[in-house]
Amino acid sequence: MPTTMAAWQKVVATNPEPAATADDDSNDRELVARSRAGDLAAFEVLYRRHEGTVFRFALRQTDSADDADDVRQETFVRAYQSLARYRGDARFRTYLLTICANLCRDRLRGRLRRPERGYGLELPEGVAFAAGDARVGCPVVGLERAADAALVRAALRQMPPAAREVLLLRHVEELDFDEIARVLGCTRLSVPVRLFRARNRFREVFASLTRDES
Amino acid sequence: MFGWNRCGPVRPHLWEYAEGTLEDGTLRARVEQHLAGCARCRAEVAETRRAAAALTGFAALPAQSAERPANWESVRARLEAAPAEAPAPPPAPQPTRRPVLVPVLGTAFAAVAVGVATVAVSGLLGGDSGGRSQQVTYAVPSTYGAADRSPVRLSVDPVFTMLPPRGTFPLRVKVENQTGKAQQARLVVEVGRNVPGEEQRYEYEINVPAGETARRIVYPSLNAYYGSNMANVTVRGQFPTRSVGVPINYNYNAASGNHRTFGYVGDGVGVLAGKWRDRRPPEENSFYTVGYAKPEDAPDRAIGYDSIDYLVLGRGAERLRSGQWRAIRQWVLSGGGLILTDGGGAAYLNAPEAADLSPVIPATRSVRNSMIGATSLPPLSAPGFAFPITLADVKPGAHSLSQRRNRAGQERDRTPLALRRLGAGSVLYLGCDATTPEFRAWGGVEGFWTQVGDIARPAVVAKDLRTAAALSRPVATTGAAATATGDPFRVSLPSVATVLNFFAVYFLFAVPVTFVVLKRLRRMEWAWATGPVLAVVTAGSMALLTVNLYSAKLSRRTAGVLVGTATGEARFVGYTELFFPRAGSFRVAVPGAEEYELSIEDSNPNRGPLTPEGARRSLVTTDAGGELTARVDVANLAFRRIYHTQTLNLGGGVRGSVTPLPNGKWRVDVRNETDRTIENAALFLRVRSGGRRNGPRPVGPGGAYIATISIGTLKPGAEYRKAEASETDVLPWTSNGYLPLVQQVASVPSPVLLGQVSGEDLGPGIGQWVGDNASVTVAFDLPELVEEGGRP
Repeated sequence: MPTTMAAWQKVVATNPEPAATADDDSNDRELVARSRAGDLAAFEVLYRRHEGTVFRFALRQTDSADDADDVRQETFVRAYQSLARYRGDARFRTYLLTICANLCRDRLRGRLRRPERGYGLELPEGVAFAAGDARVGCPVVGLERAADAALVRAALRQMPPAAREVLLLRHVEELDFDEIARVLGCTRLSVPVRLFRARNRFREVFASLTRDES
Repeated sequence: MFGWNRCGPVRPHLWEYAEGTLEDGTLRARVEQHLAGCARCRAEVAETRRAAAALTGFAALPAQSAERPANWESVRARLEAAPAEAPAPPPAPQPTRRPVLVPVLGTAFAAVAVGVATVAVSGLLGGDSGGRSQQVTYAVPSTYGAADRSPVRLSVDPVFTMLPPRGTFPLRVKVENQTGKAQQARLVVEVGRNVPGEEQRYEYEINVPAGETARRIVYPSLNAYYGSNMANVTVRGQFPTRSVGVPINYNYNAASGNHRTFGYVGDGVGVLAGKWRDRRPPEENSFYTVGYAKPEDAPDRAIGYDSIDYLVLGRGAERLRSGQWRAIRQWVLSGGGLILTDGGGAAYLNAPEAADLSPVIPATRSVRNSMIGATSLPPLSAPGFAFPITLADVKPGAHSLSQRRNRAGQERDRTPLALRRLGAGSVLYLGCDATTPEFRAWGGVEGFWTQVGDIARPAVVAKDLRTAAALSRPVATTGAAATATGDPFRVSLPSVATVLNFFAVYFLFAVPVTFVVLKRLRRMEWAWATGPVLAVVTAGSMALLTVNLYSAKLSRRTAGVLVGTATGEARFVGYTELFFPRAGSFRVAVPGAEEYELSIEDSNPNRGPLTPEGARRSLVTTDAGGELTARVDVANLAFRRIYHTQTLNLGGGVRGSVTPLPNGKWRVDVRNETDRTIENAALFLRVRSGGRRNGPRPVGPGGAYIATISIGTLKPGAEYRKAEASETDVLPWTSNGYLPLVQQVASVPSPVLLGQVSGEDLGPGIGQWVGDNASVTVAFDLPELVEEGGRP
């Protein structure tokens, strides 16, 4: 690991910016402004635009479709209720993911307290994921890729929630370090450190799963 | 370790490298260069490549949103029920046991807060309101004349130049008034350590006629700062038109307490050769230091001489005023060593005050020019050159140190060297002027003054009385309730350990046990009741520990050292401890007080470490025509210790005699002629062994040691006689004469009187001039303090 702060700063500096369209952002801002004024129709547009992102993140973070559904609904309700506190200095998507990540953390903490509803109970095996994906039936995804996805899910499930969270935010939601820092409520400089550890963990787990598979 | 360190800078970039997203060419080159030589990292890159590819593919997969279609309607229904901008409703409490901890711990912390507040308040936190707020500020007239460019000038100098600051440190303040009209001014002297609110302030009224210069000696006391590194003294002149300030910083030297100091009052400066080594072993002594003062600047209060051991009067001392003579006399009474130099031409010895102090009869003086080698000053070693010597007749009660027999074998009455004891001090008549240039050029001058100092050294040293007083312990409290519990000086507050134990029992026993019991009973909700009850009981118990202090009244008690003479004159050095039960501004007046000083040390040894008085404390002394009053401001109930020095008249003295016996014991006769009951009396004897050591006694400079004889209680008019008194304690004569007194007084309940016993000659076996060198310590009740002010 880099031993100095300067090394991590270099990592932060070399991190590429996310590919976000300015059009979407400005459109979101306009819709947010209208929603703030009480226009539920505008908020519905926002909902339709972002519910997939929220659900996907929640599903992969909580590994439960029911929880993810609850989280999705709760995320949008809270987002709407606290729109006044949304200053618009971040993307609306980041704002939603921040709320969503907090709710997911609450869910996972609640599960730890209530082991009878333990993590992975509803979808116990990676094979089930693979089958699920096959049922969804994406035409561009081949069988090998579906198997890989099952392995990725299994690996993610074996990771600590905090590491899984940062990995998903970076590699699935493709947030930049600033946005990840905002979602996680940490400093910008600590994001690459967390990401570095999460990646290492993921690589190790994934490698071991691959070996088991073979 | 080495490999890890080498891989360290590269590893954070391996993921991007494996992904192919590492865009920085330099970094990529570095990674590639590293990979070429590191198999471990190559393997890691290979693994990472597979993992990253799988993760990328995984990210591209759509979520399973089809299984849980988005339900906007349900969201909309909730949003309409709870519209935006409304505060989010708190999450419904989980049905867990955790919230029960809140009342338990909450009340526990409340109890701690109440308990700590109780102790803190009872601990007399919150110092006083400070003297600065009362400071008088004169308005500056806007039309003050342009001609007055330098209307007033203020200059401040130590009275004894070259003297290190110690004890009461007299300063000479000169005020030049060039305003063309008389100035009614106020001198304000502040002593402190740059701590706001912690200061001693002295105020002196001074009237300066137009076009004249006024001189004033001020007496800031540095005792409280002794042992610290620095004290700041600021002298300000507050005039009707402006304020002029002179700040002085004094650095303390730790070695200064070890100095023997001479003060010289006369026309010469540097005539005592300044500083020289004592020739005794280093463990017995260190330096001599000399401070010089012009006669007109000599202190007019006895405390002004507190910082010196010996006062040498020389030519020019005839300009001393009667007030200065009185101060010198009082200082000698309390343990000063006065050296009167003559050698012809010492006109000051004709002054009635000097004649009163002198051990010889001035009218009988005659000058004789000695021949080389023909005259010496035994026991002093004298120089080989001729110098004028004055001989005089010895007064009754004094004795000659240089008795010589004439050719007929008869003792001569006239002597150039005589000593008398006065109170606790001594006066030496030196029939030569050892301040002449010839003497200063003489190589033996150091030893000469060393011997003079040894001879003139009193048994009790004035400058140490303050230390002795600090070690004295009061015996009775005035104004307090009769019971010990109502005496604020005897109220014991809980120690830190007690308080901590109290809280430990509360937190580690009472609260957990309650918690466990309630949990077993499945009645955790009762914690809402048991928690507050426990807290109130705890806080109440803490308050009970301090209730005695809160119910105490305004009280005071006094302790210290009283130094008396056979004629009834006495000087007191000591302190009064005051307890103020409420906030207010209090005026403290001790009749005849020469100084007040607020002690920084703890004034209540019983109150425990949890009751600090706070750092802020101040005392303002006002000097109005010689009558000193002090003002103490307290912001809460508070203890204060104020040192004061004063002169008293006991109406009679303590007389007696001490006669040595061949068996090493003494015959003691002491009669109490004062109107007081003497308690815990003890004799202080400075015994000169004459070169013969008496058993295993440690013998100090000059072959002398301090012996004390316990006497007990003497009522007025009573006599104490003992045929064979034993020494109860024999203490070594330390380098500065410090330990004997302190150790003795510390073991005797005080106030203490050191009275003079006019004794008989103890004979050559022990020492020829020890005869009247005996003192008595007695208990003594002091005049009461006067308090005014104080707001309810």
